[in-house]
Amino acid sequence: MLHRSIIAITLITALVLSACGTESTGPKISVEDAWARPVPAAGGNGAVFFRLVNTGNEADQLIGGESPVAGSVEIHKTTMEEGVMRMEHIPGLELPAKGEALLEPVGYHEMLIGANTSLALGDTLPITLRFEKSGEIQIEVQVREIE
Amino acid sequence: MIPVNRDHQAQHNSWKTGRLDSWNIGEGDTFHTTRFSATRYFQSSNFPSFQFSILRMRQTILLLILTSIILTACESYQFKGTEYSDPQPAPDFELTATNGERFRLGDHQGQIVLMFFGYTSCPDVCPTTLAEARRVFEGLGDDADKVTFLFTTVDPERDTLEVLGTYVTAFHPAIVGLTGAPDVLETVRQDYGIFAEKEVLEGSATGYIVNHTARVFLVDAEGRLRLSYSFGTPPEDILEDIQHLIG
Repeated sequence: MLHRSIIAITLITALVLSACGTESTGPKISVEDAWARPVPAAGGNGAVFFRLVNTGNEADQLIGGESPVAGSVEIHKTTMEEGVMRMEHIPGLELPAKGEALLEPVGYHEMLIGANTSLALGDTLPITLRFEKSGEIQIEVQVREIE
Repeated sequence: MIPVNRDHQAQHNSWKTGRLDSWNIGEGDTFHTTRFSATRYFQSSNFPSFQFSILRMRQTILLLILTSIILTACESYQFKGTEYSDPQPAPDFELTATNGERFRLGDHQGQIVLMFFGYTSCPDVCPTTLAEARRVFEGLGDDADKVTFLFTTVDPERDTLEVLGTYVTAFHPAIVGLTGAPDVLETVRQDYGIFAEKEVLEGSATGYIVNHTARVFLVDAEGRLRLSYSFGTPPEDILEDIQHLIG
């Protein structure tokens, strides 16, 4: 009888432990190498680029953002097709579990629409990135030239 | 007569000492022992054919050098941009420049004119191209006044002269923004094979964007449409072509 109980307890413990092992810890996002293009005059548009790194075991999605220096912040994607530049509005950018998403020139960017000030080289601006699961992440971005 | 020495180290050493005690390969062969001095061999006047070959070698080297110099001189410069096979006069146009004056392309012969079509609300490709234009101007140094860079708007609705002027001069004061009546701009685009299409982006605060050809055109000092550059061409390449054309 005692023997059976020990086996049962061991099995239950093993089950609980294995469940703990696969339990989601959620997305863990960091923002790296962020920079923004200059905006020559108030009223213009800008673009913010960065790398998103998700070390968590759950995917997330960048769904937008906001910044006090711009009327709106949206995710856009630039593409080049046969020498023609096209741009589209992206509702959400997938960030895989234990993966990365890159926002770079002629690719994805957080677009600053209707900047309320000019942004010169060396300036910094705050931007809040909004994620579907992780909520908001606020970063400071430096204005610099494309390398 | 001694047996063939098959000791490779011994053979190797014989080259270093100048003594060739044995040098043969055939199985079971024999070889006469020979004392050999390389220095004496080369200096010996008994070998006029050797001195002759030195002379011949010198002549050959001289000939090779001369040939390579001539070939280098004759070799035509390879442009980095895409060349028009039979360059024709660039289609002329007249638009309003950001300095408030009328700009007629035909009035600028003698200058190298670079042309790009874009718009100021474009956040990616246009600022990249204009930042590269600045690098070209910086690279030109004192020759910068021999080059004009035109940024012709594909969005005259939003790109007023003031907006356009502030935008282009922020990149470099020598960049000239151009605008005009929509139908005139359309004719210019057609003449240069530029695609531009307004597209309303649903759910976006941008309202609309303009998809457009992203290519830089080069009109040479004789007013001929000579070269074009795809987006992403390093500014150093454009600079090198211009420097070649300036001479």
